[in-house]
Amino acid sequence: MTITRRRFNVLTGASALTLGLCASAPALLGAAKPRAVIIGGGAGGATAARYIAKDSKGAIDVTLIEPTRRYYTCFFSNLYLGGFRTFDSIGHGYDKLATEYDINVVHDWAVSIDRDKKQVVLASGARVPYDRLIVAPGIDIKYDSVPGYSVDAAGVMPHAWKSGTQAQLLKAKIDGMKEGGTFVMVPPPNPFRCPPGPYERISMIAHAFKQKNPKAKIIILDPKKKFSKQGLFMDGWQQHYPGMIEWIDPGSHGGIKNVNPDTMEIVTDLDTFKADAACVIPAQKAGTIAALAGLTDKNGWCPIKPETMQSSVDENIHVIGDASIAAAMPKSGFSANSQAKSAAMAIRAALIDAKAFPARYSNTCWSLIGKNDGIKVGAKYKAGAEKIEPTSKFISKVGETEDLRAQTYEESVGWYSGITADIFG
Amino acid sequence: MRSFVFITLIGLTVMGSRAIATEDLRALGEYLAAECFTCHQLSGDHNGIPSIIGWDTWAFELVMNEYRNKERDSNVMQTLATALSDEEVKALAIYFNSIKPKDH
Ligand SMILES: Cc1cc2nc3c(=O)[nH]c(=O)nc-3n(C[C@H](O)[C@H](O)[C@H](O)COP(=O)(O)OP(=O)(O)OC[C@H]3O[C@@H](n4cnc5c(N)ncnc54)[C@H](O)[C@@H]3O)c2cc1C
Ligand code: HEC
Repeated sequence: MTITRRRFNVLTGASALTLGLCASAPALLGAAKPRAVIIGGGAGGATAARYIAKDSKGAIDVTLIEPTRRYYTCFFSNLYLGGFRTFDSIGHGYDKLATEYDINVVHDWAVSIDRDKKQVVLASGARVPYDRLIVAPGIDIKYDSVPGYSVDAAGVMPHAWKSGTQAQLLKAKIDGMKEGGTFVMVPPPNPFRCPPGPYERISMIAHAFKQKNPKAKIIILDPKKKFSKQGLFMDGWQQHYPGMIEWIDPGSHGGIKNVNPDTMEIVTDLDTFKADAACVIPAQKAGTIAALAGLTDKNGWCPIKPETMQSSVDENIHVIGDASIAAAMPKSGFSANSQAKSAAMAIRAALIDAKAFPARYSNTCWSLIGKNDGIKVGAKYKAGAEKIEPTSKFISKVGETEDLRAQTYEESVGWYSGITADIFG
Repeated sequence: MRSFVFITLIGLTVMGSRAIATEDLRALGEYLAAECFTCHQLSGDHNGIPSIIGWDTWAFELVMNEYRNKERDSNVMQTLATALSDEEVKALAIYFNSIKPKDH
């Protein structure tokens, strides 16, 4: 029974293919393959490249433009700070995308987009033509949003909000901080990449101190009145790191007036804090290429159409991931990966007439508070007419059993393996 | 070429519309599965989130329906499963059943 059925499928498959080829042969011979180009090989861009290549089975020419040869995930970079992950284990190469999926991976910067000619201009001067373009450059840092902060200051008070060397530098600062010293963090204002990220980072830094520098103090000078999973984090800090962490809201510090990397002072309206090590995370905007191409709004992010992630200003361009305004969806690797799949499907439908199904969006953000103490927040979304809207959501609760928290952490480890395989093949 | 057409005709007569519907469902399932691959690996590898490839369709549908009816714990899976229709669950079951570890 199974054999007959399988044989049948194989044969119809083959005959359908033959017929299909006959019908479309003239078109195939005449024209070059349609071209999809992706700027940015991160969580969003690399996923999109892989899905377009995989699902179009060679019918679309896919080019991925990404300057770095190895991508270090921001996700789990906090676990690296806490000593739960090695730096190597959060790095990923592009070799499989190139060799197994036939994606043309070009290690260069896109410096401009010629939207009239439909070409991407690279730092090397080369031009890459596209039929459809995906812009997925992630974020850039607004250095001047924190007075006194700069590219140079980032070498002393790392933001580490892009991974790689910045994360390594921050780890060195944490590990090298003097005994009983004070670590100060300035988290970013909304909207920013990974809403629970700064607070997971605090947890992981506290975990590192608890092992090697137990008298150390951590001060958070937050520009926000509240933050993601606040109740869960505060409760966890109390349990794992009693007395170590002090979160100060803007009502109590009065606002950040200046940071000084030379004196390591952080001046607020009401007080001056002297840090032995610091992490300053400024406000953010869509990766600069998006603004250069005229895809951003006045706040520096890219408006999109919810069903296809097409730019509201250019229908040949899709913007996915952190750079996009995905409304209720947080700027996360999970969201970027989810949005990439809708964009990839829309592009296959536009370029090779593939069947388009309704877009589906979801997100889950796990955070680790202490050893085996994982929490999560997640939601399912739909493409509304104007924006992406949540349809249902969930969040961990204060007072969950240790078993459940350990299981949640285990899940996050499984998710990391899953999503990185889904992004990089 | 002639033999292909011949076999196709016989195939269509024998299997009728049911087979075509199954193929359509598998295509729907393949699309829907993209959402699952953020956590469950296509290769069947797993460390923290279980493998779901190659299951019998009945078992797959049973478990998914338990998540939909909230008879089985997991806030992640309940949130995803309640957004799926009967047909979509069937489609996913057919697709994941067709994925074997050796395919990868
Ligand atoms: C500390 C921290 C923890 C986090 N934890 C989580 C988590 O647990 N879960 C989660 O889901 N998310 C997490 N995130 C968020 C996640 O990292 C981002 O949301 C995600 O990386 C966004 O994907 P993206 O594709 O938009 O951008 P990115 O992944 O940043 O990729 C953008 C890519 O574009 C490239 N690029 C930029 N400009 C150009 C150009 N001009 N030309 C060519 N290439 C260019 C860059 O080199 C980069 O590789 C965390 C973030 C931080 C900072
Ligand atoms: C956000 C991560 C995530 C996504 C996305 C996800 N799952 Fe799951 N899935 C889990 C976790 C975690 C479990 C284990 C839950 C438990 O303990 O019962 C699970 C369990 C399952 C199980 C039961 C496995 C077993 O051995 O008991 C099935 C079947 C399943 N998922 C199917 C799916 C399908 C189909 C999709 C896509 C529509 C999907 N999952 C998407 C995280 C996810």
